[in-house]
Amino acid sequence: MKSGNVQHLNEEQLIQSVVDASDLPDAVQAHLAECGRCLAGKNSFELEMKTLSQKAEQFAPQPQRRIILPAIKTKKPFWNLLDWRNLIAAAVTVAAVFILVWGTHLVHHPSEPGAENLTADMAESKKLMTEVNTLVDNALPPFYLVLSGEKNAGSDEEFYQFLIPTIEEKT
Amino acid sequence: MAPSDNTTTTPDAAAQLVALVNQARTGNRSALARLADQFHQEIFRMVFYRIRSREDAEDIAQDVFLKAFQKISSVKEAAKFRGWLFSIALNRIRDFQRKKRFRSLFKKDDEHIESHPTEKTGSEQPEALAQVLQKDFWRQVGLILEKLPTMEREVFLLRFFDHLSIKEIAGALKKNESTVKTHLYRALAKFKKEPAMRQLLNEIIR
Repeated sequence: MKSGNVQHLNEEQLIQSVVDASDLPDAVQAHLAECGRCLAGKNSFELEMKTLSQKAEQFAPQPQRRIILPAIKTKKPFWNLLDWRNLIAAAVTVAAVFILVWGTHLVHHPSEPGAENLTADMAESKKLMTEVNTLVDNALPPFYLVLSGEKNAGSDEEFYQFLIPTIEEKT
Repeated sequence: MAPSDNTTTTPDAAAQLVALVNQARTGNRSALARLADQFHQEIFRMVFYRIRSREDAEDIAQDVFLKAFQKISSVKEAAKFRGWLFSIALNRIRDFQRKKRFRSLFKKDDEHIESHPTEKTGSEQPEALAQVLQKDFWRQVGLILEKLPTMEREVFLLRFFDHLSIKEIAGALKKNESTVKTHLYRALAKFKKEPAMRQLLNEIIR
């Protein structure tokens, strides 16, 4: 179909005109501007889309809650930390730590050892070392020494002679 | 009727928006509040068109604005704020749908169907007839949109339901303008040529 020397818009061109009329060739654009029939076709299709969109808006609910704005986080410069409240808080913290450490130290070391305590400790150590040396010489208690014959074992020459007689006696 | 009739803004409004965005970028809470007021309904509706649940749309819209205001300093061009806001909303919707699909794996079928309500019933809600019409409308819109591939559907919704310009759609979807036009052309061709789509469209807009 023609209007003058130019053909009417076909279906593809009509759709294209709805997408973006400026993409159509110049001659087709000029025809669209002049031809009432093609313009009506374009407008009719656009109206269908517009009606669809309006119905969508009409049938969409309204939001019932307001948007809550986020809390703004501002970065404080370093010197803002040096106000009197922060300084007092820092001082109190340091004092508390000092008292805690000092108090703990006192609990663990209630008093310095005096000279009397030192002598008693040394005597106790000496006694302990004597016991240790006795055990090193013979670990068995005295009662077991009697049973085992270990007591006075060194002086019983006759007993050894009996066990291992000398060669002269054999001959 | 110009193709971008709904998307054209007056130079004054555009300049005002740019000024507002620039103020918001400096942390001006009043500017943030005004931006929220200006775009809240639009973003809420945009989300609702895609998920068709008022409660979820409210939550997602709130989430979109929180995210946007946290990152507002990264907006390079204040004039592109609207497209940028929509791109955040699209990402939130994608996240929501992905989570919903995952949750639906562990739910019964009846619960899955129930997750498509339009409005809750209550004394403050529209009358029963209006509710039925509303439900029917969104069911039919759902049927039409289901017939479009994902990209064509998204471009169609952004252009005709959300009234974004081709340029804004390209920005929101991070595609070039000719790709957007191609998808839009294909979607419109289906509306124009496919008898089933035409019938549904006629039923909806009659």
